[in-house]
Amino acid sequence: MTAILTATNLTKAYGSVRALDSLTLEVPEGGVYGVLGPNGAGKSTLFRVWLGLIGPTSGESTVLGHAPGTPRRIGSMIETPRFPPFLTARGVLEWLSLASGLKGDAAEIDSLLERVGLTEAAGRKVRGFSVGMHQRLGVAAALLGRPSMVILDEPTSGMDPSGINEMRALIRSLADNDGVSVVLASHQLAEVQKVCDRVAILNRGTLAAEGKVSDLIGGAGGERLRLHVANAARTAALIGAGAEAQHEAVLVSLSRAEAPALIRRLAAEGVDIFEARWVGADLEAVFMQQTEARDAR
Amino acid sequence: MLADAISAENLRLTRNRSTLFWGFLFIPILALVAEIIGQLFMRQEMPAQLRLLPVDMADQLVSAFGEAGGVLTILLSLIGAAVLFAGDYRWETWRLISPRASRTHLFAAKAVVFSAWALLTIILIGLFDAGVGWVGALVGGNRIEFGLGMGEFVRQILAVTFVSWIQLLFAGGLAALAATATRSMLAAIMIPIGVMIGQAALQARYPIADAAAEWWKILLIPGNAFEYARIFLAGVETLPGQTIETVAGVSGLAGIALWLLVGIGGGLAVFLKQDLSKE
Repeated sequence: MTAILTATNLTKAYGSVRALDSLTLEVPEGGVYGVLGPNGAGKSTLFRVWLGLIGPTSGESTVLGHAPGTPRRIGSMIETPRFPPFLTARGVLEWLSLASGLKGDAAEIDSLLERVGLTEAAGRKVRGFSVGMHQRLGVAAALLGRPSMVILDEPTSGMDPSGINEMRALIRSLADNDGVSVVLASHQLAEVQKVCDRVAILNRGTLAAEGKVSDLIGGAGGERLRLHVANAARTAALIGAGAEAQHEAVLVSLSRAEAPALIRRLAAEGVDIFEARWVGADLEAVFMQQTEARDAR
Repeated sequence: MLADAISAENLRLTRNRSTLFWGFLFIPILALVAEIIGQLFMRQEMPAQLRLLPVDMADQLVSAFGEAGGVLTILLSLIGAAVLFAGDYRWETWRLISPRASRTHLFAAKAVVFSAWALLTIILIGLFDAGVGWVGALVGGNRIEFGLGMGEFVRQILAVTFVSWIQLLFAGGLAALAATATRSMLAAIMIPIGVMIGQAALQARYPIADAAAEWWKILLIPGNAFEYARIFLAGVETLPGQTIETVAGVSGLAGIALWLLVGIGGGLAVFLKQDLSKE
């Protein structure tokens, strides 16, 4: 497995806050790789280190085998991109193309504008663009020069449902048809599950889980009852075997037929149950399991 | 490639019409208008015998190019410098370009583009100023003279143009350093203005005549450095039969190099180490 991105004991501290905490991770070449995590998990910080925008406090990282900050054909979009407001969409791509040493190839720019659905807005100044249009233009900018890898931070942020579908199709097409390795960060777990081949789950700057999406979902077990309660540890002790305490919830392995009796028993024991729902075997379950388990420690 | 970065920076500046106008083209236009008004006024108000004095075009050109790097030109060129050097912080666009290009090239491209437009500003001001004088002489029927030999004229015009240009680069360099260190467009304008006020006060405290004896007063006070470099390079006499001492002239040139290094070199040094986490 060839790693296109690596992080070895990578730490980035802002004062006493560690955005990345001795993180070690390897992103393999090919396909779509997702980096997930709650707010403050360190996703954007990790991307910024890889792109050479910030330096780590300690540890090492590589991008396509080189130290970050060495210019090469990497496409990237960090958060909602902003552009000089006086430029048109086409002007933005001309400027970035020149700055990237790509000579402002007009045919490539037209093709990218079409690919992200901005052909009609190509001559409009970006100061009037919506967030979603900024996102699309940001993705087009990331694809300038046919990079072998693109790093996208929340690529569907601010997009409407049809835009999200188009973006998902574009990302998959980049990986499947163009052979581009796509690394993306997202909060939208359903989206990630649909589009990613592998994921890393970050929590508080550390790696909580990593692997193929199918393996992670399989490892999370089948359907479980998730009870949102005030005191998870006491509730798990009351339930006994098959219960797992998390931050403010308990995950219980049992059949649907057994659930009403359990809920009645817990209510009788004085447990306040705020929510009870079945958690399927999906990425969200894995994500909740990993992040809440770590928070509970 | 540096050439690509320069092309990109220049494309962006030329599409930013208000910055281009106010930062680099307004002063030449103002100079043109002011000179036309001045000519009209002079020809209305001046006694006839003075109006018909010969016009020395060599002197006109050297004066026009020598005065082109004046305070107003510097102040307005700071707008261009601030937008060039602080724009990527304001628009949060470093994150788009810095992963794809060398930081040294990106910064150097800004310096080159500013330098080129600053030189164009100086040339336009000089040409408009002297050009209106020439047209005025033609229209008014003045005899046109050329009071310098070609070799001397070329030396003087190059010297005064160079120093006028360097005065703008000095201000632009300060703007580069201020923009990079503070990430603020406003600071990129105000800090150089503050420095220039401070250096003007120092220049008044240690004027040219006093500075002649001590090289460090030339080296460390930019205004003195400019004056000595201009006189030294132009080879003009400070008093009849007396030219500037070589050590004073070299100190002026060294002062110019020092102040450009402080601004542009300092800005680059900060930028190379800078976190671009939130521009």
